[in-house]
Amino acid sequence: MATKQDRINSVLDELKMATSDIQGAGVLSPDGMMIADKLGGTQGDAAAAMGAALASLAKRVTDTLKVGDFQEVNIRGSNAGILLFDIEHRASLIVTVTQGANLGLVFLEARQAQRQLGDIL
Amino acid sequence: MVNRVVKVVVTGPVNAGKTTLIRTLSDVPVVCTNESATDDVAGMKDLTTVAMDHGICYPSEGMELHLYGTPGQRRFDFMWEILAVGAHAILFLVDGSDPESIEEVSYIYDHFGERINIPELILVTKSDLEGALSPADVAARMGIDPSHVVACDPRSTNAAKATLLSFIESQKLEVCEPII
Repeated sequence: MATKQDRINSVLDELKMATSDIQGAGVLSPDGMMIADKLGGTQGDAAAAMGAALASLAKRVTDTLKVGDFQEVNIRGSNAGILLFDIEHRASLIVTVTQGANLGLVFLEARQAQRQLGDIL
Repeated sequence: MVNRVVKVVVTGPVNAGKTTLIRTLSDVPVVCTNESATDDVAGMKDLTTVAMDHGICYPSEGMELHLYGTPGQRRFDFMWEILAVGAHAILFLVDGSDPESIEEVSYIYDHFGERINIPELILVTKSDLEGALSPADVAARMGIDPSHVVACDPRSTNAAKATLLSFIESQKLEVCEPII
């Protein structure tokens, strides 16, 4: 039986393999600790803290403006993009994508990973 | 007449009472970003601030105090910098009963001191707990002027408001312009 960590890592590996538009992925706790880091850089801890701050603020915004449950944050930079998905309010999935990524496919794959991670966590 | 807006940053180590202070002082519902703690902080409390707390206090006619609370953990230091922009004054909270908190507040104090030069006040909380240091002892540990360090119970509306208002008054913050 694979450990929880192994199962999380394999979901992230599968997500990264799904399309070359996805550069990296990670799972972070609501208080900004990296749970699993496949972002492929040295900025994992910063990404975890910033991702948690973003997710928490986004949750507040969706509540305050009454647009329903928080689901995702989409950040577009001039070189690449960052997506942040909620995992049942218990964690967040962060995904970095290339510039001009096929977001339809990325979202499809990310949502599948989101569901799988929700089951594992 | 347009209200004078004074931006006050509330910072300090984790579990010093920042969120409590803002909840006590605010006259409007507070915006909190409280999330479940999963690291060693979970031993102290269930929830911890990860982005910011925001509240507004109306101490007198024509004046608004905008309070911005930061997270306490160093990994959120990017929020310290974001929230400090345009601030008129800064409050450092420290748990006087916890030596680690006193050590950490010195780090946070230096972090802000290197970046901004605005009126500051150190509030020593949890003075009612056994073994808590007095404001003078905290000042000595931090190596700063004891006149900048006072005891304050962030759970008491009267005490917290009185402390903040006398600080604001002493600094003549009502006439200063935002530093952007």
